[in-house]
Order: sequence, then structure tokens, then C-alpha cells
Amino acid sequence: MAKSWFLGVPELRRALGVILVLALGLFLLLPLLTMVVWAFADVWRYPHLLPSSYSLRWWSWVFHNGNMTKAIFWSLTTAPVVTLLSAVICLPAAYSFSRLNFPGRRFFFISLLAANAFPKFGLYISIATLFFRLNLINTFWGVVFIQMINTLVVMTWIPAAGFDSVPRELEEAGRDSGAGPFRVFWRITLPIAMPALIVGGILAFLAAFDEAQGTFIVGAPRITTMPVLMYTLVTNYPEPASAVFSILLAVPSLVLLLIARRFLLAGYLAAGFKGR
Amino acid sequence: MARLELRNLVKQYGAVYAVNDVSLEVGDNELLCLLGPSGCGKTTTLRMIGGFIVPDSGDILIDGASIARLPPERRPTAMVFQRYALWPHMNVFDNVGFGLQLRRQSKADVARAVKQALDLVGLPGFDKRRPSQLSGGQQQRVALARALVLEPRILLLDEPLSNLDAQLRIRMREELTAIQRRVGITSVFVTHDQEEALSIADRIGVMRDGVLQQVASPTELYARPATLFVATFIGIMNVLDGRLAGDGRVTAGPFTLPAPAGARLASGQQLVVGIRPEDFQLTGPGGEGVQARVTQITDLGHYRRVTVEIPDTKPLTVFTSKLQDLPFGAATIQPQRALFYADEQLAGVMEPAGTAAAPVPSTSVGAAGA
Repeated sequence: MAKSWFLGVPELRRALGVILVLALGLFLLLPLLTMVVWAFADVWRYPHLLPSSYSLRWWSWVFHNGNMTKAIFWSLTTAPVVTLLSAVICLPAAYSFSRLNFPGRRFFFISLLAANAFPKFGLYISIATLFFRLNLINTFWGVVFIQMINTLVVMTWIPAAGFDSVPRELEEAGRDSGAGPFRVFWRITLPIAMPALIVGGILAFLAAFDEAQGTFIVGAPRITTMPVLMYTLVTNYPEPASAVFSILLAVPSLVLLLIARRFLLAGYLAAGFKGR
Repeated sequence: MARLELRNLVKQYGAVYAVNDVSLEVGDNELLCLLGPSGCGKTTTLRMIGGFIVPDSGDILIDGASIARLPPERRPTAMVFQRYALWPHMNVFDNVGFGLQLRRQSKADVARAVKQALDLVGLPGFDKRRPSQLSGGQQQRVALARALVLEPRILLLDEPLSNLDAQLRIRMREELTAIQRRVGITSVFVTHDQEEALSIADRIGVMRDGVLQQVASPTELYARPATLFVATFIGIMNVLDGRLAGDGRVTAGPFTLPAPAGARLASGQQLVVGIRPEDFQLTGPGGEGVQARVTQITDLGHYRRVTVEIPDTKPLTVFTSKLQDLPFGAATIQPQRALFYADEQLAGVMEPAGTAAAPVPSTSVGAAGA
């Protein structure tokens, strides 16, 4: 018998599968679990496996920290503005990439990756020198622009794929039924591509919301968003403080990702077209 | 009630002619099939009528008025697409009613028209369903209802049955023609399936490499194919190389045939002779004709398909009646009817003895080299 004889036994094979899934689950969830425990820990010292006492002390500390409320304010103002602005710029580009054939189309489509091709920190520093000249350092719009760099790819590529997934015949059928090009876009192309636009928007929001490096370089010390504040907390305060903060930071991401997933699975993208 | 006319339509992609000088008329309430192998230009022609492709030159007229410069939304045509192209984000009612809503008709009028259209295609009460909840045949019907509800003057159908399975295809094609006749609408139907074309069309236009080869009724098309391509594309045709001899007779492989009267042929001219499987007389050995051997008999129910071999000739396919008792082995074979092609064009027809020879069909359309 071969070395993998146990694969021949259904029970063992199934058990192996379960073990692998559990291992993967632990690998993914254990750090998060540790973080949650830390957030409620009061005293947790080596060699104890669990904290010796719990409290909500650090939660109230975080909520009563003046920097914290400011950070929440900046996060919740910059990220939506970035998303909106990014949509205004990228969605027409996405439609053009998908539907129009212009010279350099492929080049521009790929070049959106340029910002991701270099070490971010170096890029941010050189952008910061430029922003310094333009008086954008330490301003709201400076932070918005630097955060937008991270959103361009998702806000263009995903919606472009969404527009791609709308068969041309559906648009032609619209024209055939008497709708002009603009109405066809509004009533047929856009609604069918919408799930992809929403997913692109959510991912862009998260990219802006979680951005720390560029925001730190351009915005600190005046514009301090939640992820930037996180750096300060991690270096200057005990573990529970940053754990509490991590959870607060993770909640919007988690909710938005769940929504994005719903759109991806339930959308027309998944429903498909007969005969395709 | 409308007449469609295509005048010298041309569409070129680079150096390739997708459609090359196609002229054609479709009469009131007529169902015309455009038939041809893929890439022959039939779909391009249809899409030019619908307004989705702009012709390089030529004109498209409906009841004498040119529509060639109008965008699709302003043409009185409606298309049923090959993959139905139903809008997945709308239910059946909105799919069918979309065009009517654009025309700012009252809600009640739209509802009445949609209901009528769905009744017509046999889908009453399907209003609230989503396209993804329908079978292929049902989607097809909705697509047809969507086209008909706008009361177009010309109905365009782009291989509408090709995505259905064989049984459903035959049922849908009967239903489609029944609806077409009941509504009474001038229609152009594109297909690559000759059986489909032969069974539904009033007339068929056969295309090849962008050129319209012949436009004729199914009967005419089968009996007198205007070009060699049509002859071999439609049905089964035994093709033999022939030559017009000095004595006014034609040698076609092993056969010697009388040249038809009035044929435009020169002595010594190379010919291609086409003979339908049912146009042979097959008798026992020693009869008047060419001696041959029957090597294969396939009983196809109401007739027999027989393979006949003659030395130095490609095996011939012959259909015989079930009533005829035919053994394997030696036999005599003689064509009763034959089509003569010179330069790929029909040049003459040898009709069975006792039948008046009809003139060479005038329905053949100016194909290249005519």
C-alpha cells in the first residue's frame, strides 16, 4: 500500500479534512481572539494562559480620550469624501475602459497599478514634498488626495469588470426597444453593473479608512485619522488600549465587507445569463 | 404590413467583405430566411437592418422610405436576439413593457398590451418572474413578446432557436411561424440550419462570403439551385465532373445525358453536373443505363438510402422508394433529372422525359461572375 493509505479510508480522510480546516481557522482567528481578550483584560501576566482579571477600563479610557473623538471625526469625514471623489473620477474611466476603444487603453488600464508597484513609503515622501509646495500638507484636502491613491485601482478595475459583464446585446435590445444611448446606460447598463460599483465603492472606502502611512506623513499632527492614532496608541500605551481601538477600527470594515460579499454573491454577476 | 427593401448593401471589415452588394426585397407579411454557413454575412445583414451596424454603402428602405441613417431606437424594426438578451434586473412584465413605457403610454395601456403579448406567446401570468427563473424556451417567448409588443413593421430574428435543444427547437419553430402568420408581420429570420429555413420560410436567401447567392422559395431552391454552392449546401447532391461533347450531349462521369434545350453552353465546355439522390432510376442488372453495384442499403422508414458504386467514380447516394425491391450487387443506374453548372452558375436543367423543360430560373440574384 502507498504511504497515503489513510486517504483510502473515508473516515480518516474526512477527519484529515476537519483537522486542516480547524488548523486554518485557528491560524486566522487566534490572533483576533487574542485581541478581543486583550480588549477586556485588566491584568494579564506571564505565565497565565488567560487574564487574571477583566474590566472595561480601557474602553472608557479610549472613549474619553480627546484625540480619539477627533480621530473618529477625521476618519469619518475623509474616507467618505475620498470615496465620493474617487467615484466621480474613476467610474467614467471604468466605463471608458470597458466600452470604448481609444489609443493607449491597455497602457492606461495597467498604469493604474503604478502606485502599487513601488514601495508606498518612498512614494508618499516624494508626494509630500510636492504637497508641501502646494500648501496641502496638514490640510484636509491633502489627506484626501493621498488616500485616493490607494482607491484608484479598485474603483476603476472592479467597476470596469462590472461594465464588461453587461452583454452588449442587452444594450442593443434597449436601443431596439426605443431607448436612446443615455437612457440605455441609465436604465440597463448601470443597474446591471451596480453590484460591481457598490463593491468597488466599499473597497475604496475601506482602503481610505484604513490608510495610515500617507495620512500620517501628510496629515499629522493636525489631521489624525483612526489608523494614525493607532500607531501612537500601540507605541505609547499598554496592550488593552490598542486592542480596544483595533476592535473599533475593525467593526466598520467587517460590516462593509459583509455587505460587499452579499452583493458579490447575490448580484446578477452570480445569477448569470443563460447560454453564456 | 410593410415591405422591406435592401439596395446594394456593402459592409467591409478591412479588406474583407462581410456583406457584398446585397439587394433583396421582402414582401408584406412574408417570412424571409437568410441562410448560410457561419461568417457568410447573414447576421451582419440583419444587424444592418436593425441599425446596429452602419453599412458602408447601399440603402435600406421600408415601404419606400430610407431608414439607413436612423439609429436603432428610431427604426420601426424589432429584433429577437440569439441569446434572447432579456434584462436580468427586470421582471417579465418590465422586460416586455419597457419600450411602451418609453413611449409614455398610460399604465393601463401598457398593462393591457403586455398582457396581450404574453398571452400571444403562451406565457400568461408570468409577469412577475425574473428572466433567470425561466427556461430557455420561455425566455425565447418573452423575447418574442418584447419585440412584438412594440408593433414593429419589420421583425428581425437572429438565430432565435439555436440555443434550444432539438425537440424544443422544432416545437418553437412551429409556434414562431404560427405567431408570425397570425400577427401578420414582415419578418427576416437568420439561421444556419437549412432544415429550419426550409420548413418555415416563404422564401430563402442563401448567402456565402457576403454574397447573396439566390433568393427563392424552398421548393425552387431545392429543385433549381442557382449556384453550385447552393446546390451542395441545400440537401444532398451528387456532383460529377462533366463536359459538353460536340454532338450536343453531356458526359457526366460515367453517364451520357442530353444537353437541355436553351442552355447557354458552348461545345467542349467544362461542366459540373449535380444530381439529387431521388433523381436516379435504379433497376436490375442489364437495363438501359450504366452498370453499377449496390453496396449499401439503409432503410430510413419511408425511403431507402442506397450507396451505388461505379468503377472510377465517387460512390453515388440514391434514394429509392420502399416499395422497390432492391438486392445488393449488380444494378443499372441512370439519372432522370440533372442540373448543369458552368462556372458555378446554373446553366441548364435536364428534366425527366415527358416534362416540359422550364427556363433557367430568373430568380437567381446577381452573384459574382453571373
